[in-house]
Amino acid sequence: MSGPRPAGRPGPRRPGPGRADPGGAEPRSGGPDRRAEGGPDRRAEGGLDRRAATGVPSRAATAALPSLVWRFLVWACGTAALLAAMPPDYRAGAMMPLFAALLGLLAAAEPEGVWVLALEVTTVGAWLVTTVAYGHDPSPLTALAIGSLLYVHHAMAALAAHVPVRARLPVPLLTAWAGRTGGVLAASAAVCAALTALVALPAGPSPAVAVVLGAAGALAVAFALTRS
Amino acid sequence: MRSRRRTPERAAAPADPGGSAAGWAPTAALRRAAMFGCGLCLLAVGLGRPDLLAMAVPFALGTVWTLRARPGGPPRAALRLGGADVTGGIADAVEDDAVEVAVAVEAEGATLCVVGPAASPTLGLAAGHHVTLPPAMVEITGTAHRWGVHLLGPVRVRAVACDGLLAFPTLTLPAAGVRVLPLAGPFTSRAPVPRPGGMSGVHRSHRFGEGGELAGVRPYGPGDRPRRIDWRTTLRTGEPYVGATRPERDAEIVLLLDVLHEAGGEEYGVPSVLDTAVRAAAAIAEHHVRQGDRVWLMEFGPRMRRLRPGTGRRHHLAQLAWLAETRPMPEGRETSGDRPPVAGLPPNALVVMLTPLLDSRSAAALAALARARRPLVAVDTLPPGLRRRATGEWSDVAERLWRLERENTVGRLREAGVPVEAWHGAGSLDAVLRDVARIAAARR
Repeated sequence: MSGPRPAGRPGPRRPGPGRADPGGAEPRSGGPDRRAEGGPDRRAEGGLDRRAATGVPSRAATAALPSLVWRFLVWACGTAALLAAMPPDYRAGAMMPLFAALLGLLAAAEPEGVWVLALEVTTVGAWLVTTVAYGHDPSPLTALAIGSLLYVHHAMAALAAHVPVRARLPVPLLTAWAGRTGGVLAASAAVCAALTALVALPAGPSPAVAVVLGAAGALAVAFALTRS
Repeated sequence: MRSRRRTPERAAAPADPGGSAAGWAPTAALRRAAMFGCGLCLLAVGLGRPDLLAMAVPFALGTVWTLRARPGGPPRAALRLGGADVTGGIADAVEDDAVEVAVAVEAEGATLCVVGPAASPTLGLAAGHHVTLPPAMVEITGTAHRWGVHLLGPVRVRAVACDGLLAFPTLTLPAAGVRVLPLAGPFTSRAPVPRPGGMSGVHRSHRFGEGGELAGVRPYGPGDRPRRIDWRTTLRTGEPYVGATRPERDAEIVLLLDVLHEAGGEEYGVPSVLDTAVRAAAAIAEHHVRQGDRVWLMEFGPRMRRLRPGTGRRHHLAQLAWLAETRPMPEGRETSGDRPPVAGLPPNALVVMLTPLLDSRSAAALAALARARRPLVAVDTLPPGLRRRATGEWSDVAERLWRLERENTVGRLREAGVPVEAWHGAGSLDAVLRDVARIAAARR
């Protein structure tokens, strides 16, 4: 990696192939002296000094996050979602957290594979076991938290699937991604609050009305997708 | 390596001009989001569980939000070397100098590009991936370690949009050639060239004539101009004397590169035979071109390449480019004869053959040139300290025998009138060139 150089940069170490010119001041008649102009020499020099010609501002120190750190975050989100969906008895033991960590590791190691979906399905299954079999309160707030963790896990895995492990993710990309994801989570919280308030009404919507509302919501989503 | 945002007006050349937005395809992540979100909604309605709906909301909103910024057109990428797009052309660099390559990527919407150039060990470039946000210019810096024509690439560019929900088929930018010109070693020579024959130059002619180089005084003769009379000598001797001069002429040099065999190299810790020959030829050519001599370049090998003579800096650049494309004869090829390609050359041209003397055909060619009474110098380009490729029980004995045989060949060549001199850089040919000039003058 090298920084930008000014136009007309002389050769870095030597005046040209004839570097042993004792005088140094005499332009070499033969060698591709980079101080001179014209001909193929200029073409070669232009190739090595393009940035000065473009006039594009350089960003010498673009920060970047190693892809491995990103993969670690994928693992952390997936494992946390699965642990949050488990019954408290399961979390207290050693086997199920280990299972959650292993499944999270598989999803993080192969984000382009089926392990991400497997973790999401397992999380929903664990949530159903927690609420149905163990009789815990199916709180929409907890469900939203688990859904948010799952969404972050899914979104991070979607990005990690296309970034090689040895690459580095530029920080502008991460900040833009974090902004979008934060907006999605905030909007989801607002929608869930409205949903919870609607369900909590004394005269709540009948199942038929719920189906109609759901269908309308699905149509709205489809419309938004086709319009975008 | 770094990526840099580019100004929008500096558009990269499209790698896929016929592409369209239809090239963007949904990824497994998009399918997963749709499947998981729909499944949760169905489960929520079927089980009457609003909490499952709350779990599905981020997926639905996130997918819609992200897909709203999908790109309208295909991504574009171009490999740039030398400030211009490389389209199968060749860019020049100098040995030991930095080679900078830029991959310009451009795309619409929230797109992420992963640029992956193929490894190029000869240019010091390792394979790697570089993630950038278009429009951007990904710069790759390497070092031209050795002269020659090296390939850089191909470069693969993967574009992903909408945070990984859409992907474009990989763009493959074809490899570009980088011609690395040889770095001429230091070389100067003050020895005269044996038979200068041109009209003007820096070499003193062997014959008297009109010129600026004073050669002495001689008695006045018919045809001499009165203004040539050397009055001091005339007054001292009482007889008219005139100053004698020699014209200054240029010379023709033929650099003959033996490419029949290659030996040594970086893996053996020494420069290879061709490294020595090419750098020596570059140095000799530069020296003589600077003096105004006409320098031919020729290969003694199956391709029989030759570069016609010329003078000046532009011609020397052409010579370096010609030298950069030198290749050894492929192993096992025995079609080259033992006759040097000197037909059509002026008879007074000084032939400098750069040869490692590893092949009997090289010695035979030198002997043939000597028999033709051409001014001739053989420059031994076998690098000192060359190690064996393999070591066995009889290796020492075999090497000793081979060296004896080679010394014998060199001795026989010297007996036949071929001066053989090892290449040592500056001044290494002075003594032998003086001998050749003396012999050439005696033959006249």
